[in-house]
Amino acid sequence: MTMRSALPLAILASLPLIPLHASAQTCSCASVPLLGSMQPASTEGDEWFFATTYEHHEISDLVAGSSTVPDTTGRIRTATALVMEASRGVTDKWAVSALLSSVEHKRAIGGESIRTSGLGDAILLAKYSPRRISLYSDSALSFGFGARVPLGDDDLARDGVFLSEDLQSSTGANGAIAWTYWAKAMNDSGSAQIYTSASFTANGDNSRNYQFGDEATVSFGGSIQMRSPWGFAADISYRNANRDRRNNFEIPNTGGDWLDLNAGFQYRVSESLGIGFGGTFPLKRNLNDQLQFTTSYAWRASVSYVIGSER
Amino acid sequence: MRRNAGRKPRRITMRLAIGLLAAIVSASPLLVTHAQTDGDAIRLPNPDGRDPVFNESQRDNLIDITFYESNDDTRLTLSDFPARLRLINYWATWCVPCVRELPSLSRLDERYPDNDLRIVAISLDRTETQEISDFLSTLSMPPLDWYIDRSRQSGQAANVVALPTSILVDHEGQELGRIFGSADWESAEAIQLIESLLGPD
Repeated sequence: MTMRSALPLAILASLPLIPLHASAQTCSCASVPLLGSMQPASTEGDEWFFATTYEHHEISDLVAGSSTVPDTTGRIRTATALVMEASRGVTDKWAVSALLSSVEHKRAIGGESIRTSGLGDAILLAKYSPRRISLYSDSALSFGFGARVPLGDDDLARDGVFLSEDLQSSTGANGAIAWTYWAKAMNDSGSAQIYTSASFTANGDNSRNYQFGDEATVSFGGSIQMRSPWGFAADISYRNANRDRRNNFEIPNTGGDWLDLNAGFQYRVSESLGIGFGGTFPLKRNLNDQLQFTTSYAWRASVSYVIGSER
Repeated sequence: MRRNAGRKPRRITMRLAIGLLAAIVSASPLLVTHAQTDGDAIRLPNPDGRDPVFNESQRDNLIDITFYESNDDTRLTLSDFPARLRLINYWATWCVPCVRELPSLSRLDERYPDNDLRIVAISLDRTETQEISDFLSTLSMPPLDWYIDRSRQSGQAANVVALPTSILVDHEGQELGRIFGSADWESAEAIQLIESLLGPD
């Protein structure tokens, strides 16, 4: 018998709060940052968790170092993604998660425009959760490790010329992921929690010897589930990305540091079904080299569903 | 837009990933079907629409679970509540469905003499007794004797994993079955369940 969440509901299937992170994109990042769309809490034994998230990233800020440079060209740079997650609790402590993405990029300046779309990358993650917040524990701890797998195209071309990596739907490269999550209940019911998470992604080369920079993220925040169906969460996340490389040579104007505010809410339609909305807003950036386009803001809407065995 | 000709063969990892995703997605309807198929399970009505199921016996003996008198912290066990049938209800003031079912539980308590059915309502709150009493006084319901387990040891011993949980126990302390979630204890289904577990006089 597992210990289950002590949220203020008769929980037969626990519905976690929506994920908040949608890390800022560098101008060279082909895919939407999938890991940020994954639910932080680990699915419990005999449970299934499904979520579909629509993400929109506005990538219009032109930044030199930590300064925003005025851009009056009226250009449009967006990335949208549909991210689907399925997670299965294998045992009380182990769960597996799979994320699948479909990505669309738009770029327009003056009369010129380009739009690409297709299947993006996928993430496969094994999660180990030695502790969960329950009636008998006020903290949760999870570790995850897995792989990012390129399912989509990384060789889209126009007029016989390959498009740049940031217009491909997939990175085209495998990656290794390590992830950890810790949360502590701040009240008797566990409805108020603080949490922190960290992740590291090491990226490989794609078929054209392009390698996205390795990434590390750390976030810290809190969430509260009201006695009503409403839940709120907010955190601050720091992300560091190395410069991208081609043929082992660093690509200028890629990589840097980002500090973002993520905030969102969720409405529980039922004990199993939730809808959520959240946004990411940059607080501070320090990007490598002379000039980079980066995320102005991002928002996401999600629907999540838990299927749990009745006990 | 066209795709570049002469693509490399897809990687093995790609096939594995697609296979795993397909397996997860294709297995989910089977699981949904399985979760919804509960045969002749006894469901007790719930005003919220999610009727909890009476899960028959785990056959644990709960006669020695320890909890405390709410007023003076006297140590109690289930053997202090002799009856043909006992209904242990785990609840807390912060648990909305628990609070919702308490009135019907207290009215069920009124319906049966103590030697037939004893309701042992155990709060897992960690707050002061007075605070809990004050909270209960705001509810429109007949008085209900309640007990407390701040350490939550009895809940752990009884394998209570979510609130509310109601456990039906026979005269020897043997568990007959349990219900996860809020139930309407005044409903015909609940009375029928109690009567069937009480058996003939």
